[in-house]
Amino acid sequence: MVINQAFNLNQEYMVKRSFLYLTLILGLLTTGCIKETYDMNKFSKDEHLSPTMALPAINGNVTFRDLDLDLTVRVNNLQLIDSVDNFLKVEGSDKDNPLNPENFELLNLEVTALNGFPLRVSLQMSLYNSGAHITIGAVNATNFLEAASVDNSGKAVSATETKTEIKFTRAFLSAIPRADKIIFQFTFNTPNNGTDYVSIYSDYKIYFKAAVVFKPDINLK
Amino acid sequence: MIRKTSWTLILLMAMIVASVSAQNSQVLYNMNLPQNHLMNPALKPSNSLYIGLPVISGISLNIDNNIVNFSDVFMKGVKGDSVTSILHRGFNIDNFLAKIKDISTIEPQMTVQLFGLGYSIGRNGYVFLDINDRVEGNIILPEDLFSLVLKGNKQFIGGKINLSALRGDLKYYREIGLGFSKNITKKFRIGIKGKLLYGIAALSIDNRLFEISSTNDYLQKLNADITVNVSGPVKFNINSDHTLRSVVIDKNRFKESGGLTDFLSGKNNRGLGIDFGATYDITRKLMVSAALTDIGFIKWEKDVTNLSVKSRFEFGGLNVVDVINGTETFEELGQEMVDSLNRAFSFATTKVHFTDNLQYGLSFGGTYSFTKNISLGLLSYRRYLNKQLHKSLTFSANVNLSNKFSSSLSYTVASNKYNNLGAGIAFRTGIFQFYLLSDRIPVMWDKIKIDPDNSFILPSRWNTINLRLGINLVFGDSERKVDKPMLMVE
Repeated sequence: MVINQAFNLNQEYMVKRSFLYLTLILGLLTTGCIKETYDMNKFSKDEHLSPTMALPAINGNVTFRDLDLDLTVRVNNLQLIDSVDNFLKVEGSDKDNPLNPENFELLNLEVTALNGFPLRVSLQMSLYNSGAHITIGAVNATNFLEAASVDNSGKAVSATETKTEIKFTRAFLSAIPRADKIIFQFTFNTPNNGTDYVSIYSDYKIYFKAAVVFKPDINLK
Repeated sequence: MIRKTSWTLILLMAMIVASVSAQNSQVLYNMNLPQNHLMNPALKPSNSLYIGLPVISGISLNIDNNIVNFSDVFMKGVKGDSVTSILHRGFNIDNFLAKIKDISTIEPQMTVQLFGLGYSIGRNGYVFLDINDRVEGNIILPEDLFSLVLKGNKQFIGGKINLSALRGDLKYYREIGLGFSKNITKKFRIGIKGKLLYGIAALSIDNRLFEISSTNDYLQKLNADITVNVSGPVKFNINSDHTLRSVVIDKNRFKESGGLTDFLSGKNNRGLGIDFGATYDITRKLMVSAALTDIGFIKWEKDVTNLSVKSRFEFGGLNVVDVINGTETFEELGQEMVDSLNRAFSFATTKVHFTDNLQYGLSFGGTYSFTKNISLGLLSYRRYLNKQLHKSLTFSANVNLSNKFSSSLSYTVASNKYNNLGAGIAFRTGIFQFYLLSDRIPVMWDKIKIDPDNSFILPSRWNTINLRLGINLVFGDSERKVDKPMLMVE
């Protein structure tokens, strides 16, 4: 009751004091405490969005049903070479090129193959400039396909699964515009480094699927 | 009496849960302001008449987010005063993702008071009328979405990207509320407010399923079953093959005479709402209160479109057998894939009315008055948003000198943050009563310079931004009338 009375008597004084204190507190809190200053004119130019994406790309079966291939062979470093027009090349400026090396931090092809042939296969893919007669870039997949298991007669009894990662480096990607041809070089070996004889039948097949794993480099500046 | 008081306090505390996250102008609850009946219709200000003028009488802004602060995204660089972001090469993005919750929410709320009237009737009755325009939003972003955008889908191979928690609600409506409060007994007071609701525009995403699963050999499966309910001048154009052609906002209707007025009237989207409240004086010094507010619904009937999106799409790569056989080219194969991707989402529209419930709130409060003017308050507030429950707990120290001056300093635990210092101040000059309050006063600020001459400041911690301000016209003061005989007795 005494306090109440004091409050009532000094109400005007209290109003002024409380208002002053609260204003001071609010003023201090809202203007006085700058923790950090961010100068957005000095915002880094090295800002990138680079999520690692993995998407299925292609799949299919390779068979040679139409060919009469029933034979017994021993193969040691048999090479098949074929050249095709550079299908990776895009006409126009580098900016139009989806495979511009500046657009990627990482570009890999992950190939999973189920090989029903008793042949081990390695692959080399080369970028070739036919004007200068030089190879200007290449990717290698030395264990592209492992050979299928064979029985004593050399006949494939079970397919072998192989997973291969083909890495397209920035050097390879930057060479694409300068190449007019791509050369595919397949190297075949029968088991035991080409010393074993195997039987090849037309019902053998290779199932393959490939996923592209890439890390686009999206420069936000 | 002490025993009774103790039990009441224990009961009050038992109703309060420690883990909390919601704001609702808690500071307002214990201030002598006409607007406090918005939180509990049983609360009565000391003035005998108040008039709230359009817009200037009350603007309330509230934004809650549990995601990140400015300093979580941008940081000072190591060189001089350069600025970098989480996308800088030197930054470990995992550190940022570690701060992201399973479910991230952004909840903007804004209320503009179009009109207010409060009038004391008899000894303790109080009747009041409010017309408020309210905008309420609730956006929920699942953790996987941040991870997918920033780190890609490779990390999810062999698992699932679950986006089913992705939701969003946004509505703009007008409430016209008429309420009344009165003492039932000397100690017990109740208040009730009925509300007519007029919906102006709404968007609501009903996400029943949205996920992308993948096997270890990269086979991707997309499953989606989503409905977007819209009430507003928006038209979705669907092709005959169920692909989405375009989304068009009908601006022409606003060019017609009365078009905008008709749109803003909300007369075709009606709803009802109700607020309940009660206070009980356990002793002369201790009062407890409870309120249930914003129970209600709006039935959206005008310009309604239900856009349903369904997808059951599986992609394992392009089958290149035909290319190998020479019967198809890579270009043709690529086009087939693009076409099938376009058809992956099947769109359809219907025009079925939908009903939207309000985000109702439940509050329990207690006030202990040391003197007639000084009190301590404790307030628990819960807000229910669909499947989410948001809670907050506020301690406050209050000084109310009739309606001449009212102030409150508060500490609120909300959004799982324990550093919400709030304050409110209101003072009266003549018939004008000014007020400004916030549940969270930013203690630290960041200054953002956008060019050499322009800069702005942002709270260093912006998980909760809460502000309410306005000017009331007030007349009379019942507390002053009561004071006089008390002094005469002394």
